[in-house]
Amino acid sequence: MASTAVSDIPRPRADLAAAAMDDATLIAACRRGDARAMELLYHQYKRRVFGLCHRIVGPVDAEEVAQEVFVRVFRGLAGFRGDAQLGTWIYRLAVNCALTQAGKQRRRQEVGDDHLEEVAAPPVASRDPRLSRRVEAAMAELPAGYRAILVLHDVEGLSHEECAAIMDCRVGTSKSQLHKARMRMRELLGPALAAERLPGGEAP
Amino acid sequence: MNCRQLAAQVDGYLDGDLDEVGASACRGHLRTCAACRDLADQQTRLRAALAELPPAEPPAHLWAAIDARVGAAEIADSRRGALATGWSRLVAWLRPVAWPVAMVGSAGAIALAVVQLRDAAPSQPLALRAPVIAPAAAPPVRLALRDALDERADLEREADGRFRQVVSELLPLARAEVATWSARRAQAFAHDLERREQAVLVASPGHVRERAWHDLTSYLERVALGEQVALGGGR
Repeated sequence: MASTAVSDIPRPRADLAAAAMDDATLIAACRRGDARAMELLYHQYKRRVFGLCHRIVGPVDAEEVAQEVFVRVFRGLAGFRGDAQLGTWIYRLAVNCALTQAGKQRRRQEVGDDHLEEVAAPPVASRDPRLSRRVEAAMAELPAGYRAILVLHDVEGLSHEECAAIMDCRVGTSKSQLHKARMRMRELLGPALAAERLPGGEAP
Repeated sequence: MNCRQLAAQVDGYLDGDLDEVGASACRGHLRTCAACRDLADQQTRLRAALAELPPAEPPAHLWAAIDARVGAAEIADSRRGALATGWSRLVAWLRPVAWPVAMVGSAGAIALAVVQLRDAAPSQPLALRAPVIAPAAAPPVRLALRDALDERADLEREADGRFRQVVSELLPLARAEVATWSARRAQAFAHDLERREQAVLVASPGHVRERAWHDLTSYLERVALGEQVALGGGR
């Protein structure tokens, strides 16, 4: 793209103490087009947004979706009314973009290799050396909606209230979706989880 | 509390959402039931594994790419702005002119705008020519639909799993019975079985597949029952 990058042109600069900036100040500065504030906002949320995209759409499409999310964040900040936390709003954009992409991937897959899916062997059957890799593989098998709630609650550690706000559903729905997602994960991981018992094997 | 109740509450128990009485009932059941202890262990293990997943590190060039896309969008804004200003100036200039003349003028202006648009368009990246989408959440209906579809897929998979288990339990019984049959009947059995298994494989999920499963399991049941009857001395 031949266009000039954002940081190359003169922009208003507020006197910003980078570390100590609350959401409202950051949003206001970004709305004015302050390059430093925009970059600061990006760095604050890049891991969460990219991680979420990566786990919902997979490594191939993650970067493209993360770009889309941040472009929408910066283009949409003017319309952000502040009735949700900034983080919740960004997460919601990320989940929406990622689920849209996941839907496209599913359609592509259905058109591409519809008969392959039926005979595909369970991907976690082979014994990976590390549990986390098996967990990632099992997550890739979940329906995208389950994947989203699992990432938000169990990976990112958000509360059900936050998850419900992000997924635009009721708290009860968030809980029941998460329960189903975890049960499916247990099915998919079965032997892997059983093999690595907690030390002592005691109930928590 | 029984195992089914525990399975339904194990999430709430491990998340610490249950009240004292409910949590105590769970603990009581877990003390006495090894299978449920396994379930709870696995859930704990799963949670720990999920919480410990290594963070996905965004690539270093991600900011530059976002920066460039935001920049390109702003340039597109500036072009749209120029077009709008030109248009309003034209309208202001035409205002004193008689109404029909204004109509003709407008038509000309539209033609002019189209020409301007056509000239401006090619230098913009394709993605930016689409209207900028407001960052709104997906409407609740779509989310509800997605939930429902996920749930249906879930149920279908669950049903498949249960049927598969029934078949795996019935098949050895049926085979044991068939072993006592004549070669010709045994061959017929193999043929019938294969036809029914094929029917399950090609059936689309839902009612059609469920009917195929029923056909397969009831067939195996009838064959296996032959052995039961024979063992009981009824034949």
